[in-house]
Amino acid sequence: MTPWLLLVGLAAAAPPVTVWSTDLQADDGGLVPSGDPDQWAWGTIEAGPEEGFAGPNGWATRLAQVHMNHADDRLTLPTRSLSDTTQPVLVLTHWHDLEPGDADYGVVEFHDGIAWSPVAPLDGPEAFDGESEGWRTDYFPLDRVADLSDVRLRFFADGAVARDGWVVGAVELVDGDPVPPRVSIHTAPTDTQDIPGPYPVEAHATDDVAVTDVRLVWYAGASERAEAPMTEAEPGVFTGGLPGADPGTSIVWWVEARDAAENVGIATGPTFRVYLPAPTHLQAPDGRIVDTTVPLTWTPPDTPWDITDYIVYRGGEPVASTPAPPIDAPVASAHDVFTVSARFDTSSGYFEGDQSDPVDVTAYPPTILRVAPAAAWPGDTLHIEVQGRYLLLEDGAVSLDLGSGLTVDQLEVIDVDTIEARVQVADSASPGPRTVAIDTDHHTVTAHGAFDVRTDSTRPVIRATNPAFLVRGERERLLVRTNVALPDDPRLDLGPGIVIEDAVRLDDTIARFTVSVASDAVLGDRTPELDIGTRLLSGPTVDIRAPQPAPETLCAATPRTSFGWLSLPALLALFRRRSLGRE
Amino acid sequence: MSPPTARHFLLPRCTLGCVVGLVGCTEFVLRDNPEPTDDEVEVTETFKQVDRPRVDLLFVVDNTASMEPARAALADAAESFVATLDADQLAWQLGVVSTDLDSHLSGVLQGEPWIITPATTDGPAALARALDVAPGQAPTGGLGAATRALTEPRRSTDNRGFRRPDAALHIVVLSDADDQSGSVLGVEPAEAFLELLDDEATMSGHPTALSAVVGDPGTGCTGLAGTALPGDIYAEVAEASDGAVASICDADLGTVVRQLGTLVQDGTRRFELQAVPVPDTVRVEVDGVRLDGVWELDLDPPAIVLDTPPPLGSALSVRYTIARSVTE
Repeated sequence: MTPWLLLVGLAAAAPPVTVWSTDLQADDGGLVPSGDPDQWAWGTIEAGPEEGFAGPNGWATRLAQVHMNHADDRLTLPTRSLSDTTQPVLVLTHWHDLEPGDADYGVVEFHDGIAWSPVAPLDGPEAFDGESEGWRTDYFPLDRVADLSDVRLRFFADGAVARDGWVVGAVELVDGDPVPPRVSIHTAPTDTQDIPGPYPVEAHATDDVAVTDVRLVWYAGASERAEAPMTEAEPGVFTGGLPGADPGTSIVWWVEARDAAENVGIATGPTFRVYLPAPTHLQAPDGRIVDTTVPLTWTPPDTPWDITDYIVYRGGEPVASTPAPPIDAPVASAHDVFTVSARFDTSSGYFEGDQSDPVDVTAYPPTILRVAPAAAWPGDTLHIEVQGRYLLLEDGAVSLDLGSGLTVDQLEVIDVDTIEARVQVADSASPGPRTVAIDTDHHTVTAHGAFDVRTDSTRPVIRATNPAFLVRGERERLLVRTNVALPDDPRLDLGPGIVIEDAVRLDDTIARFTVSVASDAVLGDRTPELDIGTRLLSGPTVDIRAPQPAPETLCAATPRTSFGWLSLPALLALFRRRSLGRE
Repeated sequence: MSPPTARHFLLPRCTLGCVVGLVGCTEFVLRDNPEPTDDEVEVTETFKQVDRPRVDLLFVVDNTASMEPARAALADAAESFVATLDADQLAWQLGVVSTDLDSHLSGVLQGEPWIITPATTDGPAALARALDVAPGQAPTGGLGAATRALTEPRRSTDNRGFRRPDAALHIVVLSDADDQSGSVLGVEPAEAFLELLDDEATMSGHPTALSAVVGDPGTGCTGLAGTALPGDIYAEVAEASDGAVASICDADLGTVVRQLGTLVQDGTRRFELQAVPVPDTVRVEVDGVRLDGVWELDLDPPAIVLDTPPPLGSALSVRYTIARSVTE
């Protein structure tokens, strides 16, 4: 027969048919124990595998203990004629833990009408000893057996060493070829930076009859199952290749071999990963970092590809990139976790590689928390307070910037987190939100939109003063009314020669000041400046006047005017009329 | 309403004056007269001593196991302690170091944040965290740890910003053992530390002191966590620097520390006047009590400078006659 005809013939072989089986979870299946010391038992498996193959129950040399020594025990299958089968095979699923060697072992025997003889399985050793390393399935041809009751399991043990013994998990009789091909992998890919692929695989596949098909099956990352036939390079040796994959893809794969009865043998290959390597030795400075950034360094990865740049991640989010280390990466909280990855120029395109091991950074980013007041109008003079966290402000080493048109002409560090400043807002200052920036010898901290220049009509001002004039050498009570709430201790300034002796806040918007005017105070209009703590308010002028002179001296030093002379007769007439009227 | 007789009396006089005035001059002429009057103007300016004196508070806390109950008591008192500082209108900064001299963190301010201020979010909790210092072992050296905290390299690295150039300094040591800072301060640790306090006072122009909450000098004591050894060296420094000495065995440690917290404070001594006074007319009073011989008058700019700051919360009044000199 030619190989081609053989393949056709094999392809036509029918799958095996189960002609007898038993459910060992339900009962003992009719198997009969015997021998010496007659230790085979059916029930819940507590020793060895600690459970049966398909549930808690099964047959075992002993259920809950190691086997007994000096043993020759048998477990005979129930009666079932094999006359209706053409290719009867016993399929035994079992587990064993025996002393290795020929001192303790198990074997399957058949009776040919005269004597019991061992049956060699279709694939594997005739006797079982040592450890099975899990449940195993063996196939025993029963061509020369008339009835299933002519088959038994036999266990031998000498007088030394007792282990968990022999356990039967399942037993069935099939008609046909139940034996799958035996497959092993001889060449397997490992983790690789080879992006284009393919990744070669070599497998050996044999069968008790013949292998009809061998193929590679794989999952690449989250993609669908894929498969490809392998080529028989020489008898029993099959080669194939897994296709290239993007970096970061894990490939799970195996080899499937089939025989004519559609039995499938599988060998699982080691999962491997297509990757581009991560930078190593990512480091940050030890100790407390007080800054908005942290300097990070790392070692470039070993790779055949060109590296275009590096991406820095903070808490899993990309925050910075650089063509080469080091970099000052922005921090967000006291405890940040950073990683870094490289971007590669490969023959398959640009790809980002693996992220490095993380580095924990204890950093305290200086932050501006509060600016008060947070708004001004063109022409204002303000006392603003800026407070923050971890600012570490030091006297003489701080500057404050609120943008063009706003001039800081006094600045005082109150404590590490607080500054107070006097700010002049130019008449030409453009309206809109401003960025507040504090600059120290160690860092610059900004707060975008933390201050606003306004042009609306809500500008705080002095609405009125009463009286509207003050007199040299006199003490006066001056009422000042504003359009904003006053502090408990408003402070008024009317310029040189005018002393504000006390201030009383009468209500939210009105204050009363006791004002004394020096006898030589300069005459004329004064623009009041009312300090309400956060800003200086101005308003209507207050006129400083000389005291009204006594009548007898009033004109002594002043020239008479022609108007005065002309009006004298009229005034005398007025005086005369008033005197007459009284009478 | 004025009596009619008066009205009748006044009208002719007023009318006459007005007539004379109107006949002889114009309003323009009145306002154009810059000649000063002969009147003397006496004024009284009043100042409140609330200039938020600055004080840097450094707690030096024994972190050995026997002090754990004392540290817990302090942490429990953190809220009332911070409230006391705020109520006293102090511009305070507060830091905590352990007495440990062997740790790589010796002299490093503890906690997050490690400098607590009135602006610190939940200051009492921050103080409690800072007081929860990592456990250490004897020997302890509070003077050595404080020295490290206040000198280089810590001063401008780990503890940067804690010590302000214009603030008083108050160090409060809490320990149930005496100082053993020989490895840092030499054979005379008290003397060496007092020199440090003097240097700090000279640099800042403000007082410095150490207060000791320690075992009773000479005898020791028994309290919260058993026996406390006499804190003789700490007490020596406290007494020499005008600090206080209290017993670590006091049942109410929180109150002790709260009382000590505001011990060192320093208000302003200079009060600027709004006008130049006639020197021999100046009278100064604090809370109604006249002060003589303990102040000076500066004339440019005009100010009263006291020898010592008036107490916080006190009212200072300055009465004077404005000198006749137009300043513009």
